Amino acid sequence: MTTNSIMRAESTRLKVAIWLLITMSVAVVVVPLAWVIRLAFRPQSAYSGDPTGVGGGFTFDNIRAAWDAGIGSGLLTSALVVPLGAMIATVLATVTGYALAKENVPFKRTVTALIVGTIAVPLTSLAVPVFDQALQFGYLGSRPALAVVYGVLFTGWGVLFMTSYFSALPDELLEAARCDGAGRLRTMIAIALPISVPAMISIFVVNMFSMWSELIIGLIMLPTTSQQTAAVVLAQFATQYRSGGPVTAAAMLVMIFPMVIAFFVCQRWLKAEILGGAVKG
Amino acid sequence: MEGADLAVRRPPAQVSAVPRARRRRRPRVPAGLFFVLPALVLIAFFVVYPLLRLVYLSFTKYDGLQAAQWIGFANYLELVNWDQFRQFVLNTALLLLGIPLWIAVPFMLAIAMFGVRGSGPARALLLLPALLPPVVVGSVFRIILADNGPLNTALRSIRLGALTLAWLSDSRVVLVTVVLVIAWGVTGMGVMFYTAGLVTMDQEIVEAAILDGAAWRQLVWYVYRPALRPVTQFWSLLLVLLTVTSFFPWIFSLTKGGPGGASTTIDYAIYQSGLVNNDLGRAAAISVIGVLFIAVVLAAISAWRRLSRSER
Repeated sequence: MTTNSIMRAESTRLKVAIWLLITMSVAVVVVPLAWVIRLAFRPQSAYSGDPTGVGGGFTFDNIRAAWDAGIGSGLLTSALVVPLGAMIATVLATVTGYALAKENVPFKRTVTALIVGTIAVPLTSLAVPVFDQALQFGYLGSRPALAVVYGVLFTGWGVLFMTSYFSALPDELLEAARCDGAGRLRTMIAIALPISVPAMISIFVVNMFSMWSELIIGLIMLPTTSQQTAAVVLAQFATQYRSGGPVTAAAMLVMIFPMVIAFFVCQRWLKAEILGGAVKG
Repeated sequence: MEGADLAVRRPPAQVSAVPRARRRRRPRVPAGLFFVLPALVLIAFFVVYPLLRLVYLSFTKYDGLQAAQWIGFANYLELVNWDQFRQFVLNTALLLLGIPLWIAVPFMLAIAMFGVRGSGPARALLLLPALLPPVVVGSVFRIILADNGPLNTALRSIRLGALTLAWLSDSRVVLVTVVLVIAWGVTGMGVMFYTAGLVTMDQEIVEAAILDGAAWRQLVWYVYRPALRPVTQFWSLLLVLLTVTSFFPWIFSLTKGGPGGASTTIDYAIYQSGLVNNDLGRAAAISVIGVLFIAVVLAAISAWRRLSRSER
C-alpha cells in the first residue's frame, strides 16, 4: 500500500481537506461516545444542574442504580441464553455448510435457498407466529427455548459463510481420508472440523454479537420482567427514564461491557475470517 | 474483486465435481442428507411453519387467548382504509432513501483515508459504532438529540442556535434524524468493506488515470466507482438484510415511532398492534406486508445487479 493516490495527484490544499475530513468523522464518532461514557459516572446532582457539561466529580452510584433497576438480571439472562444460542447456530452452520460444500445433498439448490433464504425474513414479521407457537407448545418464557429459537434463526448467516469457507478447502484432503478408509462422518469430524476451528470461533462470536443485540424475539419470548434479556431491559430503560439521565448511560455501559471483552479477546479471528469469507469469497 | 458477489451466490455453483468412480460406490441414501437434516427440520419448525401460520393468522381475528376466528380479508381491508397505516408504509419507503447516503459516505471516506499514513487508528475508531447494538446507538442519541439535550445546548452556546432542530419531536425532521443516526451506526463497517476492496484493487488503473491528468472527482466517478462496484453491491445487500429488515430496534430505542406516528415503520406497527394492542390478527397482516416489502426491495436489488452485470 502506497500513499493515497488522490493525495499525491493534487495540491496540499486537498491534503488538508482530507485530514480535516478524517478528523471530523472521527470526532463525530468519538465525541458522543466519550460524552455518554462520562455521563455514566457523573453524579445525578451535577447532571441536573448542567445536563450538557462534563464536570462534577465521579461516582459509581449510577452503575449501582442501573444494576438494581434490572440491567443486572438482564445481563444474567443474556449470559444464559446467548452463548447457548450461538453454540447451536455455530454447530448447525458448520455441519450444514460442510455438507453443502463437500457432500452430495439431494436438491442441493433448493435446500441451500431454503436455509440461506431465512436471513431475508424480517425477525419482526416472525414475532407474531413465534409468540403464538411458543404459547401453543408451552415454552413461552423459557430461556433455553429462546436459545434454540435464536440458534435456528441465525443459522442462515453461518451456513452462508461456512459453505464458502469449506468450498475453498481442497477436495484432496478429504479424498485422502476416504482412501484410508474413513467414513463420511469420520472424515468430517477428524479432518474438516479441526481445520475449521478458527472459522467456527469467528461465526460463534458474530452470532454472540447478533444475539446479544437482538430485541424483538427476546421481547416477545420472555414476557416476565425479571427474566428479560439485557437488550430488552436497556431498550425499556431508555424510554422510561425520559430525560435520559446518567442511569440510562450507566445501563448502556453495563450492557455492552461483555461485548467489549468478547471483541478484544476474539479480534484476531474476526478480522481475518469475516473479511476473507465475505469480500474475497 | 469479482469475489464480493460470489460470497452470496456461491453455494449452488460448485457442486457436482465428484469423480465418476466414487459416484458409483455411493450408498443409496446420500450421507449429505443426514448432515443437513437437523438444520432443515429445525428451520421447518421454527421458520417455515411460523410463516405459514402467519399467513393463516392474517385472515383471522385473534388475541392469543381465544381461538382464531376466520374473517377473510377484513384485516387487510382495514389496513388499506387506515390512513395512518399508509403513512407507516410511506415512512418505511422513505427510510430506504437513506441507502444512497449509507453507501456514499463510507465509499468516500474509505477512498479518502486509503493509504494515508496514520489513518489506521482512525479507521478502527470509525468501526466502534458497528460493534454497538442498534438499541445502544438509539439510546445514546435519544439522550443527545433531546430538545434541550446536549447537542442543541452546545449549538446554542456557540451561537449556532439557528441550527438547533427538534430532532426527535418535529414530525418533518424525525425521519431524517433516523437516517442520520443509522448512518452513524453503519458507516464504519462500510469503510471496512470498501477498504478491503481498495486493497485488492489494481492500483495501476489509478496511476494511469493520474498520469492522464484526471482530477479527483473524475478519479472517484470513473475509476473507483466502477472498480468498487462489487463491494457496493455486496454492501447494499448487507444493508438491506441487516438494517432494512429490522428498523425496529432503531425506532424502538430512538423515537418509539413518534411524534404521532411520524417515524412509525411497518415493523414498529407490528409491535404496536401485536404487543401493545393485543390484536394479533392485524399484526399478522402487517407482518405479511412487511415480508412482501422486503421481497420487493430484494428483487429490485437483484435486478440492479443483473443489469450492471450485462452492462460490463
